[in-house]
Amino acid sequence: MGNIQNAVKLDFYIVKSIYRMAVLTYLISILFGIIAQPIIPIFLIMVFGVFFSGMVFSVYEKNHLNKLYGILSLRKSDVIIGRYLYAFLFGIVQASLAGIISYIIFRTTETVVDNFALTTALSLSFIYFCFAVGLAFPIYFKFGFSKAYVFTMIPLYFIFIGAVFLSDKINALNILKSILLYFSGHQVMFLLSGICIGLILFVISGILSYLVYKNSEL
Amino acid sequence: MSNVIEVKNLCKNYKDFSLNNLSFSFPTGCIMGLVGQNGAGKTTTIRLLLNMVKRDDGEVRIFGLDNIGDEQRIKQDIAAVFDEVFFVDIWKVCEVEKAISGFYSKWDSKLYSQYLIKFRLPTDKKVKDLSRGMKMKLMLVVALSHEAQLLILDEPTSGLDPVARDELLEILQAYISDGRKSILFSTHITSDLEKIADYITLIDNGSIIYTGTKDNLLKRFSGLLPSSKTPTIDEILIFVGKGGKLHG
Repeated sequence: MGNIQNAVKLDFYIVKSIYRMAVLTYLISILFGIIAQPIIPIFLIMVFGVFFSGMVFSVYEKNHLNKLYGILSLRKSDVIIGRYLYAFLFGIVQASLAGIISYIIFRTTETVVDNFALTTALSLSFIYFCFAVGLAFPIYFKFGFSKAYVFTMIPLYFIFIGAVFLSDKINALNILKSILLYFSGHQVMFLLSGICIGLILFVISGILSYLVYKNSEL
Repeated sequence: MSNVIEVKNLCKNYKDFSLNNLSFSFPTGCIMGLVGQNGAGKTTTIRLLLNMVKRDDGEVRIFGLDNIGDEQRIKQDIAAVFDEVFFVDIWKVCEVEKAISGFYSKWDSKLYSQYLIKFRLPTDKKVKDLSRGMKMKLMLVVALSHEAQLLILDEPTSGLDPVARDELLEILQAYISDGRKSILFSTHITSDLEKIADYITLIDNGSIIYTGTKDNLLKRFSGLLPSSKTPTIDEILIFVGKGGKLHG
């Protein structure tokens, strides 16, 4: 456990430089929240969050951190668990800040706070975050950030197109409507489901990353 | 005296390069120089020792332990210095400790601060703003602060000015002075090794040409080279590079 904790801490320090950039994205999100809809910052902050989570791979490459990881007493599984745990915690922090920002915009613009809209946005954007990160990380572990960044999101577009295509076939809107109806009465459940689905996506992605990373050369 | 590193029949094959049956060892408390031209296989050997790349065959024992099976235990007592600094360039010198110290059970913060002062490294300066010599010293400070028993140096002096190189050699001599610590020093700047190495392993094109004491190397090559005086390691390296062979 100590090694995983250290790996998370190391990732935190590796991407230290991006935190200032993250503050800038909060400001942009707030602006959009004020001029468009108070719910918008949640989606924007989580989309930016996906980008920031991948930055650890970029800094790693730029600074020859393969050598550092090569001398540290870290198992490859510790590196993987640490990286995902860091990304998960980062996602939680981003979502919490996004929720607070959105709520404050609701209040300050004297718009009626739509709790269900807030919960839905938080839950769905968190699932998106975990899905996008879960898709990108195994690719980064396999090919590295600089080689893979451009095409990392391609599978996401295919999945999106596939989902649109399938939604016609399986009457997805009605299914979605009934799911939302259920969750409108169980909002805490909605949030918890988002976290659980995110966790499951991370676990699947983590296993994939381990499989590609365990035999890789540092 | 026990051997700090024992390598037996180590092999690694790449598409365009192979390490063939490397075998060498050296005792605790000594400095071994790993010498060879650029591309001879020195860095690959070091990466294999550190299990940064998977070996195809052979055995590596460090402190008597298998370098793969006991990797975590071994790495607590190993430190490495490479030709390039491996810390994030925007970290301040003081932040390096915060990021790294948790990995070492024997990390001594007091020692880290003392070495920073001794090596005149400013704590509030960012890694990217340090000179090449200072970056190398910072890697050494990290190595010394967790009391590593084995220091592996991969081309640490390339790009350093003579003063910084001399300073490094002094630090290394002080490091092994207690007789319990050892150094594996890979370089193609052989004049550094002539001053401090006890053992030499000479690699050429992925194969070992010689491994043993430095004195024996100089003795064995002295009759083979045109100059009548005792040859330098540099002259031996050139001789080997031109296809010269050691017989017997």
